[in-house]
Amino acid sequence: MNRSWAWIIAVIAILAIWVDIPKHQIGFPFDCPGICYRLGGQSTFVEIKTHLGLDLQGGTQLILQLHPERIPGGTTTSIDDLNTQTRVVIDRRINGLGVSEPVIESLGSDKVLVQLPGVSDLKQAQDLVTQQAFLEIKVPDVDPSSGSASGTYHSLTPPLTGANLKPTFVEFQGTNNAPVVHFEFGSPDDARWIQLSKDFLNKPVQILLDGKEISAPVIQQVFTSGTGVIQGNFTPQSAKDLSTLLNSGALPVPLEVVQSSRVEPTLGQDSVKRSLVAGAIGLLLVALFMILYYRLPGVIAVMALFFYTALTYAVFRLIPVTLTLAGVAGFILSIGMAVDANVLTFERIKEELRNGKTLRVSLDEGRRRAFPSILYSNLATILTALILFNFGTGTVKGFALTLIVGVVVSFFTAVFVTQLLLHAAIEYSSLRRRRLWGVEEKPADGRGPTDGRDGRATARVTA
Amino acid sequence: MLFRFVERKFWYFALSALLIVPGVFFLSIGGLKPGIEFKGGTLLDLRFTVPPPAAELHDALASLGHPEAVVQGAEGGRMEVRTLTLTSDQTVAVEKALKAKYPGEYIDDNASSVSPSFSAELVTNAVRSIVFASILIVLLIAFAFKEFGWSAFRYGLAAIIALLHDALVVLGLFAILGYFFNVEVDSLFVTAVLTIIGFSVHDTIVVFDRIRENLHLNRGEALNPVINYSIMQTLARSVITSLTVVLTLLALYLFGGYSMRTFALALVVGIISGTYSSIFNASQIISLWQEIEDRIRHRGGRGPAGARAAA
Repeated sequence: MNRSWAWIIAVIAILAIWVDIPKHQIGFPFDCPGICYRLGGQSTFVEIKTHLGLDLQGGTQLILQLHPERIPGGTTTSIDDLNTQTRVVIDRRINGLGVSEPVIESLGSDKVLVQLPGVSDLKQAQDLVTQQAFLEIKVPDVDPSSGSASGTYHSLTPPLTGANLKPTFVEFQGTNNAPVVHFEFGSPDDARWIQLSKDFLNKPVQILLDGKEISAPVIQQVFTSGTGVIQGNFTPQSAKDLSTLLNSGALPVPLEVVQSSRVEPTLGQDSVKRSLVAGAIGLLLVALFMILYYRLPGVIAVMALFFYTALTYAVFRLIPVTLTLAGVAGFILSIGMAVDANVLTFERIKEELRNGKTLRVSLDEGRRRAFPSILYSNLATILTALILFNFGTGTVKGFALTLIVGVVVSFFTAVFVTQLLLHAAIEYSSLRRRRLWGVEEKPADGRGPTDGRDGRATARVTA
Repeated sequence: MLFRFVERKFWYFALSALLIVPGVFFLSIGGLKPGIEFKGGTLLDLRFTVPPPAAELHDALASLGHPEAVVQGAEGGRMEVRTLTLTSDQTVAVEKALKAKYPGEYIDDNASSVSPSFSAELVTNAVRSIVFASILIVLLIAFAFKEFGWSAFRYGLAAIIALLHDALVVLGLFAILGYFFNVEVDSLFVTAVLTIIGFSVHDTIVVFDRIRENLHLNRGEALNPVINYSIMQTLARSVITSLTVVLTLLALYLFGGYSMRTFALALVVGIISGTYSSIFNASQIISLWQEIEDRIRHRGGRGPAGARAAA
């Protein structure tokens, strides 16, 4: 351990604390909240904040199952492509809704996870996400003898659908300013639309959304462009909703909600408070115990522990790791694991001291001998956490991720920070008294500790 | 003054069996109650200022067309209602009807639904992850103890037996709790079990690592005494580490809110069990294995009697 390590760790500590401090309260000395890059004219900025999961801030979560086998006529598109297209469509729809920080991600290839923070209307969320929004124009069956429409409709071949629509918008028409949705077909459907108006002049055509008729206007004149309007007893809001749906495109595949949950925001806030209290009390209890039991090394371990907490929290904010209730539990649990690495080392140091070695030798031996235990036991925990992360969903994933971050950071703290502090402490003669390290003072005759080279003796405990 | 960790191993195995057998009994008669995540259904978490009697709430739900509803009172004026899987329309209809029935004194905190097909997938995933984790752990330990050659795998297997012990203790406890108090297990519980597995191995590795080091320092010494003082040397660490983890979990249990409670309980029990199994079971299995191997060799007349270090 040399001086440069001390500097590196000090810098990390300061950076971690800076990241941890809520930026909306303290702007100084930076005038933007987060990390800002200004290179020439370009400036980007990443906001640093704690990302809370749905269970902590309230909202709605849906897990959707893709059903490609329910596509009429089947499909040749691969499930992964369907998944991507589905997410794009859902993303567009949710953007129209103005939800902040929605989560839309694939869960395996045949499922999609949607999280809508702050949305507590389960039904609204579900309708928005699962509605197919498949627009089709059908033409009337014509009675061959009379030449008039018979009141039933059939699809064109190939069907005239909303696949080629340009962005729609709401306009207000007529004497009573009724809202209608204005649409326009792109090429080549615009030509078919014009042709359709020639073929079925003065007859009704049917506009269907997901197989349900929304209106059946009679064609009054031959069209000159691919434009048209949908009338259908809309309110301004429902017209806007339809327009958003059409603009987002149809879902490529029928979806089924296989899991839904809604958490009230008040409950989430309550959980955050309780978890914070639990975390603080847990940290305090452990700190108290460590100091009482290990004395000086205990104090050092507690310092390392606070460093650990600050750094882990900073990593959570930077990656960012979304904190869920389970994630908070993982974090609290990892505090216990962070302590373990220190306990392993300190127990070893005590042993070496009892075997008559000097403080400096004992510190190095303690670290060297505790290292394989720390390494392999941490590896075992990381392995299980990785498996949890791979197989788990939602809550479990959050827990696994916080545990992985926690174990990695605790490894760093135990191996570097604690060692550095221990070595710094023995620079002061007043801190070198053996009683401070939890071992009895040397017997009066033992002038100067031995180097303890006899390897055999070290193996036996002298209890 | 050495505690006889190895010589008394059959007593420790017997104590473990005593802890595990009742749990396994309740497991086998279906005591472990799966939550809606694992069997499908809808859970409504309701909070009342003055909670109505459970029977009244059940009747209200039955009249709404959900006679299968199970109503359970919980602390803080909360009531949990479990039904078959509801669609969001049905959920909203139930909540509206309840709001009308209990005006001004009812808040719906939570609603979650899981379809049976999805829950079956979650169960498969949970089982698969536990099996997969166990295999990886055997390999990791075999790698860590590779200097022992093929006997490295016996360390891996001993660690797996120890972790099965801990998993069974916790599963058994929750089977008993489920049988008598209807405590349900959810994915958070599976998380707890996997964490316990991780911890159990963590503890066992520390002891095994010490055995390895001592075998190395004292070549030719018999295995049993080496195991004995290796456990002795790591005893303080094992107890202290568990104690600190239990302290944090205790804070979680007492202050962490209702949903964290069963999670914290499972972890506390599992970690205490993990400490026990790493001190009293894991190394003793290594010792037993060696003794059996020596006996077989002795009968075959190919080697000397007495437990020898497998270095």
